[in-house]
Amino acid sequence: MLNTFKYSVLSLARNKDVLLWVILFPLVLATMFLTISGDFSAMNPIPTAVVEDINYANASEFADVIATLSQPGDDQILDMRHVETQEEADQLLLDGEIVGYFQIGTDANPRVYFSPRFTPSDFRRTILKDIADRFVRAQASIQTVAQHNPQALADPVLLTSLSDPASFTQQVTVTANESVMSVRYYFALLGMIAVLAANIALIGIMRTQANLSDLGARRAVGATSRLKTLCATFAACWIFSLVCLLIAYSYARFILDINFGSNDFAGILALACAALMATSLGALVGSIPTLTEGVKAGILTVIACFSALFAGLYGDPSMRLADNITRNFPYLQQLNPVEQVASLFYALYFYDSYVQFFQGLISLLIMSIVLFVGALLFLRRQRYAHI
Amino acid sequence: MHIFRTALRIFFSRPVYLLTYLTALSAIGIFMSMGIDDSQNEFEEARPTVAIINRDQGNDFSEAFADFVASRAEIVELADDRQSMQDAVAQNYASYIMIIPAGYGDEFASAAAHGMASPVIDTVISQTVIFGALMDPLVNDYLSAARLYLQSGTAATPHEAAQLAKESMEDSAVATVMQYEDSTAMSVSYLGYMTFASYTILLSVIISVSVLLAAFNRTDVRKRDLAAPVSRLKFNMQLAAACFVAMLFSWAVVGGLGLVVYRDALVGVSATVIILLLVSLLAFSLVALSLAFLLGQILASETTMNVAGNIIGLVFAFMGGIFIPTDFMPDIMQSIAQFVPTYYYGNAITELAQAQAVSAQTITPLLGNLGMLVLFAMTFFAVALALSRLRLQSSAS
Repeated sequence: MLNTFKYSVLSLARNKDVLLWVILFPLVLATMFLTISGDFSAMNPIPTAVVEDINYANASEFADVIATLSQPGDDQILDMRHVETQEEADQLLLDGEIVGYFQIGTDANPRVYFSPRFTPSDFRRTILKDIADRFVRAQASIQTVAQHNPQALADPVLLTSLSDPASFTQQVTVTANESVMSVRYYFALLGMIAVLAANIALIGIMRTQANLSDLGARRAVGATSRLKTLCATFAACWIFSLVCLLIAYSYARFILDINFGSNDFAGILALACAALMATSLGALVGSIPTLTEGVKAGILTVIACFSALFAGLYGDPSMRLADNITRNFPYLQQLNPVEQVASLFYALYFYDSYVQFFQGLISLLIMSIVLFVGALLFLRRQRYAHI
Repeated sequence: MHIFRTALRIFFSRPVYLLTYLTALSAIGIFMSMGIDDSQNEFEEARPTVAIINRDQGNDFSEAFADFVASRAEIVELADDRQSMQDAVAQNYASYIMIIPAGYGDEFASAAAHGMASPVIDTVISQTVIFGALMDPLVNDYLSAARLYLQSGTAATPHEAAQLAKESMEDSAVATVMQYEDSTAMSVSYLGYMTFASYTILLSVIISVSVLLAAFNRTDVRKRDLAAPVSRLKFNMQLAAACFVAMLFSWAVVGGLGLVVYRDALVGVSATVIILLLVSLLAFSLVALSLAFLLGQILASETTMNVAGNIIGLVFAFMGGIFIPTDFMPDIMQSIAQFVPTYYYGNAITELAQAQAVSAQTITPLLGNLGMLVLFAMTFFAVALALSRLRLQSSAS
């Protein structure tokens, strides 16, 4: 059995193509996530324009607001362009150079115009609208005060508080680590890598099956018992998957300096469990009779892509879809292997205790067992009418 | 043409597998575009899902304030304990948790009346969704108005201040989404599908081509082919022609599925724009084809091409701005994005999205983007041919 294990490991190690890509995949993707943006929540100033016509010249308060928000620096919100006519602003919108523009109406209130440009997740429109709304509401509130109690506006304390943009909220953290956008990508990526690592077991198991490969047929007539062959191959595939996942984890954790929670030991335990799920999944898909290796790899790719979609890997629309599914059909996500692996890292990252982490581990172990039992249904057969 | 015919026979020997694969990948695009609202003609606020924890139950002001917030966002229920809040953040159940502390209403009224600093409300904002913080402006505006009414004496009681603040919040600036043509605007969900189609087409063309190339890359077949009295260029050109048909098949399935699924949303939309969108996808399919052909020269098996396709597909989609708009990337990455073909495909889609009817003004930048895609395709194909020649020489030596 030890011999089978040793040669399974050697044979998998010689399959450089798959190993290279399964290792390369996380390294390339993780580096890309880091370079696209170290922190996705950091936002570039919004390209905006303002029409400087006669109405604007009379609205000095709004001009002050615009000037403050366009001030270069870390807090800069607007990347402002000043134009003289509405036609110029329209042209900028049409050319896609701005998200929207402000124009002061004859009632001295700002109006905001948006581009018809395709922006399915463009929350920047809401930010521009909020800026104009805030101005309109502040003006309306002062008018209400002026109507009901005009002498109050002479109170210096009130005037000071009017010009002071006080914040009535303070952000607090209730989780063990601060919630940042980038962790979603890294956690979902680890989940997807785990599912792609199932390709290793797919190849390994196909080489044990008499009806699936020439090597399998040769091994079937060998002296080693079937059980020993399968156990050794399964163990070799699991070790290999774990090594691939560990390389990805170590690269992201120690070279890219990504925070996966503070407990590396628990992280490794999560990866071991993820590798077990990947090996069981690969064994199940690999043991399906009649399909070629290419078709099976295609099935794994589709599983990986679908699961990654519902774990939120594909950007903002995918995250919203994933959140909706989690909110409305939480049990459906229990079946999603990428989400299950990602949730282990969510548990390590966000929670104070390990209760959720161990619940996640148990859930992933159950998934592995179910997949493995499914694989056994195909693997137990030893005699074939045709090979 | 024997090689061409044989290659096509191999390709069409597995129609169910290829169709299933293409449909499954296209379904991802359909799922992705499900969350996109088609009403782009009107402005719609983007607000996070909100959970309100009111520890000041029974206080008129706090209750009215909580009611106001609830009226402006999608509300989810959340228990008032740390564990539930951690669940909400970890599982993205609520992106904005607002905690109104006990005694808040009274303290707020007292601070306003005496001109002192107002008490603060604790918020837990999830940064794992892109617009988690967008409740803050509404909350601040409401409390700012309420404070002004109390401080100025306009409102005699906190309850009255809450009423007036609520009325103030009904004032808003006029927002207009510009429309440049009279024809019906393009369906945003269809555009979402077509944008995602670059990922779908890249993966599906690579898998389609890999089915073909894997058969021809088998050592025994390759040795036999090398001995055949056919020049390598002729052989490759015929194989490339078969791959082209495979690519057309993928393009037709992905494009056709989009037209079928979004047929209702596309009623009244300019047919020329739809055709140009499909032409753009075809131009991108050429890039995918040449890339698949290139990968086929480097990698031998279908399995490897599958994994490679996934990596390249994701890298292209992220860096080209398909999954994350390039506007959100650092400047340097925006420059690098221009070296990725998906960037030009995304640009072409954007050009067509805002062109509700076709004019010379819209065609020129579109042609520029499509031209770049064809250039990418030619470059990948040239490298693939060069590699093929190198392989031939190395086999000979």
